[in-house]
Amino acid sequence: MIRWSRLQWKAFTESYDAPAAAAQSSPGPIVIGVGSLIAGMLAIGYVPALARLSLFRAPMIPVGLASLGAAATYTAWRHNATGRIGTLCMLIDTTLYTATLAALSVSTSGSFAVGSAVALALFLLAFPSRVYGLTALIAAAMCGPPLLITAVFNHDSLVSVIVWAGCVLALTESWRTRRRQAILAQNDRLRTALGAADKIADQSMETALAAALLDIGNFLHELRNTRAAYQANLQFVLEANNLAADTRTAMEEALQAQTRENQLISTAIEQLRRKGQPSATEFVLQDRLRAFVAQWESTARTSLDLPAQPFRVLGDPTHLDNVLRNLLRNAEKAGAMNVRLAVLLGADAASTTLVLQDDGPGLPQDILARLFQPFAHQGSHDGTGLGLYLTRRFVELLGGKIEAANDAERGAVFRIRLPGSLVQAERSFELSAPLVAARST
Amino acid sequence: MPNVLVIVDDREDVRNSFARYFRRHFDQVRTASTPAEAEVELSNFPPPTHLVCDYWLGDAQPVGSVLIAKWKALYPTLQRAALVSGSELQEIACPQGVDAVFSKPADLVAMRKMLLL
Repeated sequence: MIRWSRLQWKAFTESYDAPAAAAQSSPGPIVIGVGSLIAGMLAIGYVPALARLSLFRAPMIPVGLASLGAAATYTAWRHNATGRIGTLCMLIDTTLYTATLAALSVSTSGSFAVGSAVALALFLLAFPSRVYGLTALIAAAMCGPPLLITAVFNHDSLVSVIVWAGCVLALTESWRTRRRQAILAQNDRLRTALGAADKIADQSMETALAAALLDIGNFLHELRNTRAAYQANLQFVLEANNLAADTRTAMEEALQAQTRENQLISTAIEQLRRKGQPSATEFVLQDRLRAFVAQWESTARTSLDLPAQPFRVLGDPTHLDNVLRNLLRNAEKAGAMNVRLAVLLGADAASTTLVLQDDGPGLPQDILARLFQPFAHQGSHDGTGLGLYLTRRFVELLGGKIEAANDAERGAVFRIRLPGSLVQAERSFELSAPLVAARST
Repeated sequence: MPNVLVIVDDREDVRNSFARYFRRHFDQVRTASTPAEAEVELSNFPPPTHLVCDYWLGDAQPVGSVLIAKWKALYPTLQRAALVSGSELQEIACPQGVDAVFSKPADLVAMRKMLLL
């Protein structure tokens, strides 16, 4: 019995969303709701014209029950609808409110009794059955007092039918609430699992990329050693005394070519080193976009639609270049003839949306949901399957988010939300200058 | 005193090509593939006057900059020492005892001029 009670108690504590329930139990709505109920009952009980019609017997009993219910609700709110006291008060207030309305319906006559029974049914359907998933305790709290009170004190069969029907509907609704809660919990678990899977995929990809960078680093190291031996031998031959003029020229050219190759290797190593240590600088988004588009050579026409007020982003500007390069190259490969780059400033001035829209055939619907995952479209594409994954990672390194969709008419639309700030207008600097001058004098 | 160069590099092709080149410019060139072999060569007569040492001599071996600092202190006949590496050397530019740092593939003319300054 004790074990059963504990299980029921646990089931009840898990049958409602405590923060939401606590919010519903805040004093304001309770004062209005319970105050109106008490005022109504006092009017029916003590205003002579109404009292004659309602034949309200012992009005202070339901008034007292409602007051106790309000006190229980207040206590639950003070305890955030959690803990032993908070949970118990949540259960008690439901019991007291249903007892109040049941007592009202059996203490009055005629249409007042019927109206009270309907009010009880509506209360059950509007509040507890929607807040609590069905458990034995909430079933007892919702239906116990009304069924017991009407069974013992009621003499009106219509009232009994309404109360009984209200209880049945409330139990059904409470069961549905429980199902909804279960589905929401399942969705939460699914989202967590998907998030974990995404994280693992990201970590795996980052490990693979780091390993690839290391391999490339080792390869370049070996290449440098091989070329050192090669260059030393070339230099050795070049400095020989008995070389014919054309042989000497050939050797000099070979050494010059090698010097150029060495520069290429040094550049590659430098780029690798820079990738390992991304820089974070402030840059104006519009300036970077203009510079990128100016040097971008493409078969598709790229147009810019930029707001006048500069927007500043903190991060490595080469990440933005990588994003643009990947997306523009994809648009070109898909056959787009026009690409529009637009910057939409956010209402909060703390973020902006960079929109890249093309007039190509759009993105395949079957991969849209997993477009930014590694290898999402490998096989349907001549790339590595990592381009859009890396694009997402570059956007995330800038603190942003990227979404993809198809335009209703034609083409793909990428929306990149970037955090940052608006650059203050020059006017504010002009205004501050005399102030500085005045202070310094 | 003759100019004697010791070349320390774990790669045979690098070691041999450097030795072939520098033999025209030094009285004697000796090579070593490990720090232990290098110490034998550094102890031999005539005493070495110059040293070219690779930075990375393999796992579980001290790096070239550490070895040059140690050998310059142990063998006072060493006049000049060059550190050569196939890796990035920005962070270890000219540590103690090292007269110049070269990235592979090194400009051997510049290295020769530096050593025989």
